[in-house]
Amino acid sequence: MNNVHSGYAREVAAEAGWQVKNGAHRRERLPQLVGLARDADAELDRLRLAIIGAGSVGLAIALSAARLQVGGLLLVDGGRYKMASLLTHGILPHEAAAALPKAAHAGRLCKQISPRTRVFAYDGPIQAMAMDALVGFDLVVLATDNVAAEIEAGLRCLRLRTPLVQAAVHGETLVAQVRFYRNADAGGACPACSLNRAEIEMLTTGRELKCDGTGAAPRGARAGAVPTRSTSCLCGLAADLAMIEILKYVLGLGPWAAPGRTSAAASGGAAPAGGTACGTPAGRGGDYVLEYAGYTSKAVVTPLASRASACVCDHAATWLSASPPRPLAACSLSELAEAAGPGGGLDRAWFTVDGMVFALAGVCSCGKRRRLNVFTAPGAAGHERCGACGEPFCAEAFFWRRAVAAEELKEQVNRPLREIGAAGARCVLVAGDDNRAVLFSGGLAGRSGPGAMTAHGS
Amino acid sequence: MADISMLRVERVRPVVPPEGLRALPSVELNKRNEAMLKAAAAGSLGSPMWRARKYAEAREILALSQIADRFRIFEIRMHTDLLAVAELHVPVPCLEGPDRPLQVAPKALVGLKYAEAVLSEAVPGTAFVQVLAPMGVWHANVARGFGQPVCLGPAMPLGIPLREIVILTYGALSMQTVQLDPSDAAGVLNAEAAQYWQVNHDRIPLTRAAFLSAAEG
Ligand SMILES: [Zn+2]
Ligand SMILES: [Zn+2]
Repeated sequence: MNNVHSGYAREVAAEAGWQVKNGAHRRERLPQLVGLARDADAELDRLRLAIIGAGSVGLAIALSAARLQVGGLLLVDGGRYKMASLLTHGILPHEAAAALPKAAHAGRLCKQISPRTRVFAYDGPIQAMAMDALVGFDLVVLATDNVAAEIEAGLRCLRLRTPLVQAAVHGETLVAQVRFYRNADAGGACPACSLNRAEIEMLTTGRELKCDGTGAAPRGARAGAVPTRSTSCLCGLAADLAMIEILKYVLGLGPWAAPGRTSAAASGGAAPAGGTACGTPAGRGGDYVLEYAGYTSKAVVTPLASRASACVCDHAATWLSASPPRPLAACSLSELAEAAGPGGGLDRAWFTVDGMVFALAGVCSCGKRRRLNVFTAPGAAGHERCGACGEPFCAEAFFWRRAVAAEELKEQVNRPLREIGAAGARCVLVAGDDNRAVLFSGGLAGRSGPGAMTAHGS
Repeated sequence: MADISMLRVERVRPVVPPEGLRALPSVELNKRNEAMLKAAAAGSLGSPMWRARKYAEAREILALSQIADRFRIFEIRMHTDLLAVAELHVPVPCLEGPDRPLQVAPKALVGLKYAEAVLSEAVPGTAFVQVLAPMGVWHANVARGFGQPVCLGPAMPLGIPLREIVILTYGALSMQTVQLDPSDAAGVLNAEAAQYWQVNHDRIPLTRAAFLSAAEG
């Protein structure tokens, strides 16, 4: 059942007992929205939402989206309920007592509410997901107080140019907040833009070190360990505000009702011009923050400042998603480079095989080194053994590359991935000099991941 | 990387400028180092910002090698990560086996690795340096096996310059800075060696010589 290792979410199956034959359809309750110029049914059928964080806010957003019977939902959360979750989450006592995994449980509830929605759940942190895990989603919702997850989700959405909606609360002042990051270009803001160096450094304190140089637990694994204090009503309010902003965006309502726009999901959408008639001031790229202050009963919308020059995230890089010309394991990296057409050509290309490193050399127990020139898991033992100590040659950090240049791959660049240790590659990123990279998805996304809903057929 | 045993470089004794490390930006690279930097930069990949950063870091450690008698660079690469193979004149404690006497090697061949992640996160202190030779290093902060990574601390500050990593490595290997408490996760990669050096603490540091001082021999 554990899907964390694969890096991909598992699809939640409909439970037989919950299959309602002539179930409700959203048309029975969806209002005639004023100014609606699109086919709401088609837009919501098409809509795929990824929700990072299935806690008090994320669960409420997920249930709301399920009640709209959206086309697809991905829920990502590595946490489990505690007894105190009962105070803020929309769950029952026995669910809290059973310490159910948050993502899987939210997924099950969503599937029960909307069997027609394709629901995927991942019981781990977003940092552990495959590089292409968010490919194919129209919008990502961020509902976590883990800063590391915020940065990671922000970076992934920037690269894929996917809009990101962040919902948050400040319990002490009864403030609910929604941030809309349009991610239309490199000039907009991201969640990391507002963090300073000290905050980012703090993320990694207390990480467990490993001798083999494979690093440590995902950055910030311990950040956010102290639960946010809030009330159920404030969490619910933040979730509802976020969902209304998402609806407006998807259906082209209010400030998003730009003339000539047809589909937010299909066109990638143009941001509304700054200071629109409907009153949502849009910063560059349409980024804004909506804040409801409980003490004053006032809601305020302000544009988000554009990209901070000192932001630690690279806003310029974009990742395009593509299917490999043949099954990934049968492709050589030079073949993928040709298909991707990286800036500068093969000479200036570099490759990342998700979850693996290219090991130029390995070392055995007695300290002898041997050329390996294969892809492998970091620190993993190779097939060859040392004649002196009998131990395998293991990949070592100085001689491995997470991103490897064509020049260092030498003749291996022309061999199929399955012949150079990467038969199980889940996806491969081909990057070039022009800030543009192409992400080729492998078989796993096609079978069980959210990618199943997009490029790999559904 | 080139075959380590084949690396031979003629030695010119460097002169430490009176300003010490502050002189680094004004140090003019000699012909050999200039050529090494140029060759590495030709293969440099990545975003314009990362390429510029790799170039600046590489230039700085090459300049450092010109003023520090104890530090020499044999090779630099910067395709994706910035990598350098360098020699540090620093006493390195080694133990070939449990029943063998402790030996102290006069220098270490180290591999330095500077990955792009250093710009966006506090990278663990084990991610930068490996002792490529000698083998059998017997040190609390150096792992036995796994290519002998050196632990410089739980997490390095965001954007730490590579020259700082070099100087920290000198301090760690010479045991001028050492973390011997095995119950503290912040740095001990060899618990047995940590115990050994707790018992033999009178032998540390292995040298009191400063990094910029002239190397022995
Ligand atoms: Zn940013
Ligand atoms: Zn051996």
